[in-house]
Amino acid sequence: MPEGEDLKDLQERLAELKRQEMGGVDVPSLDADIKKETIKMERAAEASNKPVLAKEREIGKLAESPSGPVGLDVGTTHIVIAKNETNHIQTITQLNAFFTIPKSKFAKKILSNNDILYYELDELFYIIGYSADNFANMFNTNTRRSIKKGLISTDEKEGISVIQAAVLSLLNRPKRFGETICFAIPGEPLHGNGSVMYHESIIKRFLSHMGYTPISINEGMTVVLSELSNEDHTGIGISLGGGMCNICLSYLSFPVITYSLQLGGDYIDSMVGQSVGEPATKIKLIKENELDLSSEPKDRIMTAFHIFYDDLINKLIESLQRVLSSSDQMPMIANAIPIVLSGGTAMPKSFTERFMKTLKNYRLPVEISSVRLADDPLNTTAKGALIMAMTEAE
Amino acid sequence: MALPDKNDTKIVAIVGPKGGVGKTTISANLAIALSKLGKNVIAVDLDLGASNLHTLFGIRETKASLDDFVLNKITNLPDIVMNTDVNNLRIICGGNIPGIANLHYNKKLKLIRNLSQLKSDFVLLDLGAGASSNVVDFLIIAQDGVLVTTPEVPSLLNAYSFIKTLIFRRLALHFKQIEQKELIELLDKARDFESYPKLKTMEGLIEAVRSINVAAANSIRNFLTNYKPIVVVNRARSEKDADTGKVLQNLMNQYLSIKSSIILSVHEDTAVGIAVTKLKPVLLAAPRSLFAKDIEMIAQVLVR
Amino acid sequence: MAFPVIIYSADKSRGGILHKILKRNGLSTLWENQLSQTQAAVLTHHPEIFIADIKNALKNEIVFLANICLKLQGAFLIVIGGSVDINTFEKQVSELVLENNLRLTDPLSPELIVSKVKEVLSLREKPLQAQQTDLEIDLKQFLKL
Repeated sequence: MPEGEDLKDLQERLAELKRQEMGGVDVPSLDADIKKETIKMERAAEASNKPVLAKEREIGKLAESPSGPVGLDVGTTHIVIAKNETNHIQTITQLNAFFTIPKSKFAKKILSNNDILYYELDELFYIIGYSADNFANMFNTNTRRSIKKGLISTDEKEGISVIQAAVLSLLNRPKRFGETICFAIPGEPLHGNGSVMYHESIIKRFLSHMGYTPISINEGMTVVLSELSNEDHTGIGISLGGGMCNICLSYLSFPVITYSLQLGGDYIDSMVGQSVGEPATKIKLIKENELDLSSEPKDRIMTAFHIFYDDLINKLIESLQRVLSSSDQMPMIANAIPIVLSGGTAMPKSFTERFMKTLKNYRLPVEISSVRLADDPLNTTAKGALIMAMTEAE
Repeated sequence: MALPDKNDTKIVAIVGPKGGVGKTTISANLAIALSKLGKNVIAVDLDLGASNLHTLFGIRETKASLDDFVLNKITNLPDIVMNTDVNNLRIICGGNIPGIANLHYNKKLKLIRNLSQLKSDFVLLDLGAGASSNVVDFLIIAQDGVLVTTPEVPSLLNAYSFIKTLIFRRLALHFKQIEQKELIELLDKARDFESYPKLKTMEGLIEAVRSINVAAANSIRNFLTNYKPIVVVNRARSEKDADTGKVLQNLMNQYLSIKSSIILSVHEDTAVGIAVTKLKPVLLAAPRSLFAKDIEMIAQVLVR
Repeated sequence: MAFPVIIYSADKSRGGILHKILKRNGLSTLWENQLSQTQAAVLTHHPEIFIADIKNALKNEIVFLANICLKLQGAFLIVIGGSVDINTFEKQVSELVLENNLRLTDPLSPELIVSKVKEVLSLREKPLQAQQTDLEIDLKQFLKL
């Protein structure tokens, strides 16, 4: 009998003996239970303390076969995977966008010569990821999105295959069949439409087909796992993405209240764009490069940004107040708890301070000790999903 | 040794051996918790000379108070019972006449007699601080005594001394009743236990009583067996604070032979301060607070 | 190993929180989320405290739990849930069971439950066996005991 098999056999026989000692009642051993949980928690704590090294998917680079658990963030604007390396967590980002051009021999040659990521379907070439952005710029138009307001878009017939292709550009089949992959899913939208269950099931199906064991985690909870290990995973995680805000109140690592608002960076870009008569893409660029919420706005675009950021923050905190106050899941929490903000929409300068200032105008049913921005807001979700995958992997 | 029940009313005395332990806040909220359990409750402010129970219910003007009863302006105690905004809960406001705390013995007896005849499921007596005979005598008529302390040493010392005083007062009353002078002298010696080390513990005292009067010794044993004081450690900031009640329980067991004390704790809670400034009881202002849940637990113990 | 505290909660989050917080506080706790396993555990471990989370429970589940409670042999029962759930439970169990219990209506108060569990367990300990603490020594000195 090989050494590993021998050990397994011994462990099984010991467990059986223990069961007999308990009078035949199959009661789990507390020691084993604690040990297992301790190891998992140690793994998670260790991973959450590692620095994140982030990179974008390089054009022409083949996807890797991971040799351990994987974290996956399928966001409205980006898809991010996270892997655990010896001294750091590695994230790789792909743009979650696509662009179609009619099929032709000429186009195929161009695409192949330039290492452009694409696939063929019906009479079209589907160019995906960062390559799609480059192409769209060349044609002076916008890319299309497979995810809208955080969920698989109903506007795009081929949305699912595009997501699948984008994930495949980052991730190959695992080295070990059945490797755990954890992906983030939104909370149920508070007002909007769309089925989270459908979104979750679709992603789960294709990850299973790739040879992974997929598990899901609420996106707000990824922020808690990633950022609140020193607070016993108790607090509120808010992920402000392109399509939505995901909110999770966690108590001792249990996601007690989760929900989402289908408002995010896209909403701000579109509202500001509409208000000042500029395209949303231009507005997005200004937001990413110039926006500072601490200083008085100097022009009408900045004024509009201030107005719609305030609007978003107010809607977010108001929803938090209403959901927490009315939920029958809300536990009594004696101590004040922290709020952690993450995601690209939380990144403009002084967003956190503005959030804190607005928070003072509301009374939440739980005392808030601090509000802070996640260490690496663009990679928090993938990192949190990775931590979950590591704790769940057997 | 206890007074017989005149009716089905359960009299509960709330005492704080030391001022400032939060006794009145607990009294007011306990009264509400009992009324929430569907019990008719009359809360009586017996903190004579320093009454403020009514203010915790937001009552600013008192039409009639214990002053009127004690000064014979009103003959029937039920006539000064006031309704409150809380269902099932009524209140008797305390007096504020200086010197009323030193109530004449006859007046005190009259008040005790009338209190024990009030018709309600529960009569909650909010007694004054300290271990004066006024406080102890009112406690003697109660079926249950709730002793409020805080986790600090001075407060715990007072709590222990208070219970000892109460037991000695009861024994003194009993010994007077059976007119046995030797036993009264023995009790005086036990008070000075440093000179009479054998009388340091209740067991030592019971043995000494037994050598004089076996029936009296049995009676003391019987009383101590049935005596179940409820000690509430208020403002507990931690488990360690809550555990101080256990230390008190050990001492009562070892030196006073009280085997059945009940120790409960009430969390330190910011909701209390906020409610007090609003002149609203915590159970109404913050019914989900830890404080409220702790008080509800005490109420459940009393109902049982 | 016997568990002095057994929790029944079909709710992953509520049961998980209680299990975790009680274990964090050094209390050996077993959490079951199925009724038949709960019954087996109660019969095996004879717990000191049984915590029944009946939030949103079906009537049949409450009847089953009430029967489990009858087998508690003097264990302290903590029932948690919504007020409607608790009313239904009270109708199912006899006064005998209700004598030795604490009913806590929502919201779930994990910290309060921990303190009550500790309180009940400490009340059940023999006081004479309790260790002398510094505080006890201080009090004895002041009281000249």
